[in-house]
Amino acid sequence: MEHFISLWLFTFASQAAVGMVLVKAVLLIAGRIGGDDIRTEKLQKAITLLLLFSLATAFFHLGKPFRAVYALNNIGTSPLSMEIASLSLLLVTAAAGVWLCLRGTVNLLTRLLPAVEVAAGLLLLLTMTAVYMLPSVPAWYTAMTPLAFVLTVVSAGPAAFAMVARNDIPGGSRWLLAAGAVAAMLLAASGVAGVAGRGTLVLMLFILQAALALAAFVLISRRFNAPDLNKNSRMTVITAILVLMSGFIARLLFFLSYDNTIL
Amino acid sequence: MKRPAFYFDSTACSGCKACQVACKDKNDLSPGLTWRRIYEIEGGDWVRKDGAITEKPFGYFLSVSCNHCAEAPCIGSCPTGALHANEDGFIILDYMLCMGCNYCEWTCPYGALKMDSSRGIMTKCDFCIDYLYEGRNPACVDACPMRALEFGYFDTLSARRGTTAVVFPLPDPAQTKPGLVIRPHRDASKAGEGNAEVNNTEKY
Repeated sequence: MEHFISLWLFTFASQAAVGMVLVKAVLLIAGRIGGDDIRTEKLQKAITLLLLFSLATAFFHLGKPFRAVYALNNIGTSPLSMEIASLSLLLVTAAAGVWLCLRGTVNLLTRLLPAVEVAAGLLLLLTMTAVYMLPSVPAWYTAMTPLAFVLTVVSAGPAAFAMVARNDIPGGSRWLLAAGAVAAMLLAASGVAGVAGRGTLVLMLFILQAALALAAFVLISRRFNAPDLNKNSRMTVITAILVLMSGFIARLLFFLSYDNTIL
Repeated sequence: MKRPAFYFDSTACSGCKACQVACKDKNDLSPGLTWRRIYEIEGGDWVRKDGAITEKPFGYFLSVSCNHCAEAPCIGSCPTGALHANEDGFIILDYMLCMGCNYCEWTCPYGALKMDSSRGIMTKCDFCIDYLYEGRNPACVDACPMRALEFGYFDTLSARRGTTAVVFPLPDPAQTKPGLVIRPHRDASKAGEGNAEVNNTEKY
């Protein structure tokens, strides 16, 4: 079980980073933030740090971390090799983004970089799904696995973005926060089947997850039409924390559901 | 390529675990690490007979290790390429390449690959390949007092004995084409309908 703890952090952090990449691309396309915007720089740095953290956690579950250099040996066939490669690609792209921010190269930041980042992020999501869709683990070998991963990206991305931007959230991005809260609710709903018959601890964690998602949803829906939504940083941060905690518990439940055909 | 295989007679196995112990002894496995395991399957039902409701229990044993599958998912899944099939069909783990990521353990439907925490790498049954090249049997085969285990090649063993049918709780052999031929216990057909379970699992 102990190696699941680092995978729990790794998968959640990297999917939140992919969500932030998508949020940043949406905001750039919609013109809510610009290439020379301080919020773009903050977002870019946060994405890079989150990816660095997830790469670091990936090492902790290895019995021989120094042999991780061999992880790309089987890139043609091993989903795990491809996952590490796509994570590295995304990290390099995000780090290049930070460098471009510091240099003030606006054109590349707003046009080419988001496209490459989104492509790398989606590739990471795809390879991560391939890693966990195993016929030998019946609990994971269902459509719920890719669904849960996508919902984590959609919920954790805007929430992580809100945590970074706080009281500097661009106007009109309330939709993103609302989408995050709805995705957290859907993530809780999609986990119902996996909870059945798995003991009291799992049931209690699931109830906590659903309660947090519901609280985030209620909070955002009550304030959605308020004109000061984007200025009310405390409410925004609370909503974001609730969404992130809900997603974090959902991922724990995912790893607790691990079973093997013969076990 | 040749397909080395184990034949296991579930009707003869008494669950004594001599094979398990012989494997640990021969390979000097640390405590908690078992490449071959005896699974104890128990089940039963209630039946109505002559106006009375009586129990109808059953039980049998399965001895399982790495089956050196012809379509082994562990080989393709290993990110470092540490797992490979040699020219004689044995699936070999290169301990110098393994980084201990556990992924092969997840992908193996037989749970045959085991993490050796003290060394930080995965380990697995190698069919006692050194014994085989000396013309001897694997340690587990010779240790079995009931002669329930036998080493051979898949085509010969399946033609001569047993079946490759689904035996609870093993996965469908079509999934990985394991080097395993089984003579199922007479009660094995009753299991797999939700009324039987493995009683000695070691979950995480």
